[in-house]
Amino acid sequence: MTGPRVPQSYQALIGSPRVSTGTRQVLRARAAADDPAYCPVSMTPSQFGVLRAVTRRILPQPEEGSIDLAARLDAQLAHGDGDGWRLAILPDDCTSYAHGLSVLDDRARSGHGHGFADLANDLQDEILARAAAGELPGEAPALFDGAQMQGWFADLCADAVKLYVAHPATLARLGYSGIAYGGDGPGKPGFSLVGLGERETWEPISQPAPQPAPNSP
Amino acid sequence: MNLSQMRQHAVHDTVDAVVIGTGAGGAPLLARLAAAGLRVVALEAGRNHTPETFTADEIAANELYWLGERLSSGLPEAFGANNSGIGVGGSTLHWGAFAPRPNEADWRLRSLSGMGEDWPFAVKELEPYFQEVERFVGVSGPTDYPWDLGRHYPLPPLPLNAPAQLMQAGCAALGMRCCAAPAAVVSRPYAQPNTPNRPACINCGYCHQGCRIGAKTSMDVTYLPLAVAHGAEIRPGCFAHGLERDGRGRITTVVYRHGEHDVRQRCDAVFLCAGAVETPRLLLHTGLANSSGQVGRNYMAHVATQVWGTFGQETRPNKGYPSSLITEDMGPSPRNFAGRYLTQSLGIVPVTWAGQVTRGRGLWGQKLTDYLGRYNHVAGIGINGDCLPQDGNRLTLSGEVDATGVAKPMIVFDYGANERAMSAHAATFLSDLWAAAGATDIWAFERAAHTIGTCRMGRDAAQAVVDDRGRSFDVNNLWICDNSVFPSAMAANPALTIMALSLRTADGFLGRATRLSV
Repeated sequence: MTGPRVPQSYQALIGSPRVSTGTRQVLRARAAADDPAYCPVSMTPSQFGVLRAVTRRILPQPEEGSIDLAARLDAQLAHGDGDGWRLAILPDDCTSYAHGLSVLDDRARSGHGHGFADLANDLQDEILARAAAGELPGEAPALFDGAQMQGWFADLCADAVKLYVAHPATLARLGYSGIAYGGDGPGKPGFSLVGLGERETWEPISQPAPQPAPNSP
Repeated sequence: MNLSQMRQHAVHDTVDAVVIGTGAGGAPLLARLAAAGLRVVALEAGRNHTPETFTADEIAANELYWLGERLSSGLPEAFGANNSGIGVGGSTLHWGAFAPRPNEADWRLRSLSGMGEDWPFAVKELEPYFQEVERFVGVSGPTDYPWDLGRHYPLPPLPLNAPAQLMQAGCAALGMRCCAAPAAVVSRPYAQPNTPNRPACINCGYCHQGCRIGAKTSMDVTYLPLAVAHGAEIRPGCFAHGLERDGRGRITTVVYRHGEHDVRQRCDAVFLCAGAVETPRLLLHTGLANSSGQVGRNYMAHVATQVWGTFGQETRPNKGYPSSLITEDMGPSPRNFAGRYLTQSLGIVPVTWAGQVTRGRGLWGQKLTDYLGRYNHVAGIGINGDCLPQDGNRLTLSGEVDATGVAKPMIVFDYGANERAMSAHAATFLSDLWAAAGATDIWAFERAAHTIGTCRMGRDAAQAVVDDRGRSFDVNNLWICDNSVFPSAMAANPALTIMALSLRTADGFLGRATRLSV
């Protein structure tokens, strides 16, 4: 994976005096390409393979130039970056991810004879929809029950979408101007046009959504 | 904030008071006690921030949130960024600065509805304190407040952003009153004695990620500099975890962790102002002040249901003060619940919004990425509604210990019938309002906000943890002031009330009569 390309105009905005040095550093670090040879730290390679497949279904991106959400999630888990709370029915975050991913994979194997990562998109989506509805793992005893799978899947979606939206390529796609309310030192410009339909001339415009490439099973 | 010139005390000196926590509960009373000439030390678990270094980045703002893990059971309530702060200034570093006052109907809910609880003193008693706080911290708002005609705000209103303009249109269509919201954000340059000069708000929209310029009220630009000017000491990076007592049961020493070491500060009195989670956590951990068995009980969270919609024109919801319009009217339908809710317009920054979309709307896949792409066309409205205390809604210590050596708190919280009825009523009202404003693709997001209750205030030592001034019934030199003492949740967002209570608690400690002019 090469990582998504941040449009030139948005890179210029990030480099402009309207953006603070601290914000610029954060955004540029986040825009750096992911390591194509990334090895998971908080989970097994097999669980990581499932996570890659799951994140592709939760947040479909073009094959060329996508954010490696799975790698970023794993790094976050390994670093122990929590958000200050968890559902009491779930174990700690690393264990939850390991259990949740294993239940998805087990379900794929028992239902379709292949690991989750090797299933076609529609079969993957069907399993995820059942997890979201609290209908996995079904009747067989498993690491998680339905409520735990539902809770973990909601956490996973929330964790993944934050990484996705915070990426400068996504902010550019949204036409997001908030990063550029003011740079270093006194006299930050902020916004003066804040009403409905009002755009300051420098504010980025929203980009049409990129079409994700078909994902071959 | 600048702490370089502050007075410092030795740990073996017996100071007059140690204040645990530097947020809305601890900071005003710290300033009050220091101004009265007392030797006071405030302990803050987090570090002292330099606001200029805050970024326009939601992930980097994690440094402002209390991220020590809490376990949530029942209706999931997010902690961390949702309601819990850390650092000199506490949660006021990232609060929304929405500053309505409670009213008589909130305050005497039990008398008026037969449900919930009354507060143990009259809301009238707080009015001079509300006025004092609003003047000192600089609250912007309308010249005349439609639901309280004698009320005036010291600063003119902030500009209405797109969500506020849309809500204004919706209110007009439904015949509801509305006005610019009371916001503890200065709309003009503002200066008060012994505090830094604060420039006017620049409409950046990042109140919840820390205000870089000090236009938003946080304790580190208001009451804490005032406290330091009067001789208070603030110690960042100090997590209090022990309270030692003498043979008579009075607290003699606060034990706190600073770096790798435990430090003991001797004192004559303790003010516990760590919020409705950390305050009961410390009391349960030390086993103090709980002869009533009420510590941790009656945990409440505001019903904070939101409605979102998509509009044809651009809203760019990151711009402007996020909650710049309010209505205290609750729609045309009859109400089938006790208590009130307030409605505010909602701007939002994109990572927070995306998290709400996945959790609240359950979207994933192409539907999710398509909807996220509509960011510049969405706007929200949301309520802050009362929540009845219930004995089973409760904070306890879990079996897991975190890095501090103290057990992680477990919060069991569920809506009762009243909260469910209120949330449903609000979802209908707000959806109708948004439709009237021209929204399409309208959806409701059920959520709970704020942390309230767990050390309730009352008249009866068998039923409450502290008296009506905030003094513990059991330990006579222990005082509590934060949202934990609230006997009822009330419709108003809590921080303004906490600040007013903080000054009143300080006056109670100092033996001053309530400054009620009637």
